Amino acid sequence: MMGRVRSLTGYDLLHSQAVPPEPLPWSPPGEPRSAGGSRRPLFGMASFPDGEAMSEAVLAARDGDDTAFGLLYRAVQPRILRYLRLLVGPEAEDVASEAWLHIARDLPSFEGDFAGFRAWAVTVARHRALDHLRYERRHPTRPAPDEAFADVPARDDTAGEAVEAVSTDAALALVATLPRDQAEAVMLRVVLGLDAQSAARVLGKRPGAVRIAAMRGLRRLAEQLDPHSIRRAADEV
Amino acid sequence: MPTHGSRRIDQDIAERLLAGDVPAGARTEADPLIDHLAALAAPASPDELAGEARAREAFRAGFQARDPAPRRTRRRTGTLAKLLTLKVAIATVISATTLGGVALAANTSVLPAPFRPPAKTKTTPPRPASESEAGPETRRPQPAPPGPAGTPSLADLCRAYQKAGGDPAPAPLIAAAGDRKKVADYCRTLLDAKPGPGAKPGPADPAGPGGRASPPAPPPTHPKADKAPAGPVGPRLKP
Repeated sequence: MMGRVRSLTGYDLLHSQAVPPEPLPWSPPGEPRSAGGSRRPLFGMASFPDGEAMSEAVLAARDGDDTAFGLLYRAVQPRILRYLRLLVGPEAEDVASEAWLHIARDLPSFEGDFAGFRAWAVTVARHRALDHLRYERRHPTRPAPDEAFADVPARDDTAGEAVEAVSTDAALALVATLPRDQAEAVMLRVVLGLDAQSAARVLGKRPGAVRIAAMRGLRRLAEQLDPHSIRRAADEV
Repeated sequence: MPTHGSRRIDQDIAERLLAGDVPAGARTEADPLIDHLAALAAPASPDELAGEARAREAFRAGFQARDPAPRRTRRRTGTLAKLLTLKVAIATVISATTLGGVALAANTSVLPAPFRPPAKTKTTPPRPASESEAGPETRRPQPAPPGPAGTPSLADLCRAYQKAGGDPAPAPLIAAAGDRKKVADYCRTLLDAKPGPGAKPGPADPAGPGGRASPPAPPPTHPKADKAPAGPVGPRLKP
């Protein structure tokens, strides 16, 4: 998926936003941003606009509207997949398929808005992943999931690469190097767009612990991404 | 120490970053951490959506297998208009996947032109059920005047649907019947079961018990909503 070219999907249209014309303070002037047409980096809860429309899609899907279900799938599945890669590596697609069967089956008894749906869906996926891991531990046939990213090339940090968009795979590979609790906390907040309370519920931990784990995860990522920051910070002291 | 911009990542900065709210004090050069987080949450690639058809198929199969009890239409009364608009928005998105610059479907308060309410007036008095024959070839009377809420009842929508030759099916009928394929049977059952069409308000009409049976119905199931709801739209849905 490195440097992939994507065609515009309905998801993009539903989730793209109007572009502010002025250059953004964090972009190098004149430099193009990542593929997809959006100039503003979106992550976390900001990457799930149209919450009201999507919450109505949840209602419609509960009553059997498969078009609405498709919208939910398109919004949530890519994020769940990326999260699952962290947990089960190359088994992510299989585990995700199982999860969606459960989600489709249990949707009529789900109550909540789109944010609640995301939290619930990733909980289902996480349980499937943990079951899968338990099974794999008893019947090992493949390398352990933490080796799954072993063959993904490390992010190229040359000056020329700095202006290119970071691919999702490379970004995931870096998160996979974090301690598991930090990695999960970051993924649930940034990729699934859950708030701190919801992320804590998914993980079955106290919100305070999840906040700290996420903060530490961000610090570690920042450290890996910009080692010069240490020197800069020292200079500014 | 790890910083974001020139500031150390403390809990506050972390929370704002995690929410996608970039701090105002961001440096004016490329910020690797923001790039990284944005890459994690980048829009979907086609291979990440490869399982959609299968998932929807399983979803549909699950619902048909469950054969749910009569629809919870009563619960949907208040949001019916919004749902219908949402379907329009969905249809606009799905049918415009390759058109750049198409109006973003997120604005759910606007109905595209094709979904203007029909210009016909609803003045013909209702006919007794014994004369209501299902079938697209039957000349049907205009739907009865809408109920007090201004929303056509499911029975009215059914009549309009049959009069239009069974196609396209308006979203409330699809929702009530559970599936586009079942709308024809649902309407047949509904109109046969009703003693008289009358101006019943809202979509709370009971579905006939046979509404769930599913012999193949005329309108083809089409995932792309070219046949997006174009049936009678209540006055609530004025653009």
